[in-house]
Amino acid sequence: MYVILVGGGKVGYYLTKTLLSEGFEVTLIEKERTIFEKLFQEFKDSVVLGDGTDIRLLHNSGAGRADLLVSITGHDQDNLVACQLAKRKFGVAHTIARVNNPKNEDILRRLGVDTTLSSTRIIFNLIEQEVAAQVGRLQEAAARSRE
Amino acid sequence: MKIVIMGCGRVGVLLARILDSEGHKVAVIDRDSQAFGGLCEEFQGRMIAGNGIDADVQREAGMAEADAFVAATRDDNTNIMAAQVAKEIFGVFKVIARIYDSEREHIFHELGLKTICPVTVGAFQIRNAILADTLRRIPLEAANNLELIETALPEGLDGKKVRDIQSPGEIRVVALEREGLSIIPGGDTLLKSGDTITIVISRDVMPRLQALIGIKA
Repeated sequence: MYVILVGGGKVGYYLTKTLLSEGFEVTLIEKERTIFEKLFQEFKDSVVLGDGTDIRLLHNSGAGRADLLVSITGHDQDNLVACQLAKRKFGVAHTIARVNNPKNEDILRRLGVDTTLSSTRIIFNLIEQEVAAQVGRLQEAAARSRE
Repeated sequence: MKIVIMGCGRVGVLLARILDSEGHKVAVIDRDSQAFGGLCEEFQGRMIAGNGIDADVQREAGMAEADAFVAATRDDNTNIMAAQVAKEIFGVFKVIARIYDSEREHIFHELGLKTICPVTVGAFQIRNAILADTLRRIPLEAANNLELIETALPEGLDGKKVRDIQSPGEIRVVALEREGLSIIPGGDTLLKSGDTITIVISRDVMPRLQALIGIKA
């Protein structure tokens, strides 16, 4: 299984590390030279310097035979375009985009991204569950003390 | 018309001023409110500071009622996303995205976005300014891989039929100017020296056209 990752920030770094250790074939695309150089020291040929929304770079990175493209940059517009190019130009079966602004989750899905992930939304949901659990515990305690 | 323009750089500002002076209802969006300084005092339109890919900012700019949206920031991907939000979410009828990268422009054009690539337009204009004495090449906006070629009839084609230089699906003579008259030729029309011919070709057969009719590019 061949996975292309766009964006070598923290998420991209740990994702590459994890996927490589699980035996996946991975190409990580990073735009910033200084970040790229650090990643290159560890991942060698699994990292490419360049713009993950550049058609030639995607082509040279083997987007045509990729099973999955995951775009995790800090810019929703770049994640959208990387996924759209992967899907419609290179026929990649599945695309995943990180969504920085939770409001864009629905929009990116409507514009053709298969899966969207919003860390804000995920953490918010966890907090909400935690708050509900806390409230539940307090109510139980209050009910017990009345008995 | 109600027109929303995202990106107040040189093009965005000039476009906003032109449309505003023509009496259109213009709203401009820019992330940096200082960019609005480029609009002259007479500008009647609305100015919205914010990120134009954000649907809430677009809504504030009046996108729900807009007739047209222009995405003209310096970032291709921002323009591509904002244009799609305008088109798919707000259903704006006329949406235009400026895309500098010609390959990216090509693909998003094929995917149904109305796009303008200033790099392609500029490069062909400059090419034609330098090489006007050979032939003019005009990329077709509506069909990305097609070009119009305008040239004086090369020597050696005098007396040939239009049919002789055509090739089905690739090369077609669409207009002919002779002694100040413009005509749409048929396959049997005879070519005469002194004619100016306009040919529509598929871009990849340009070398074949040059060989076929003996034009030096």
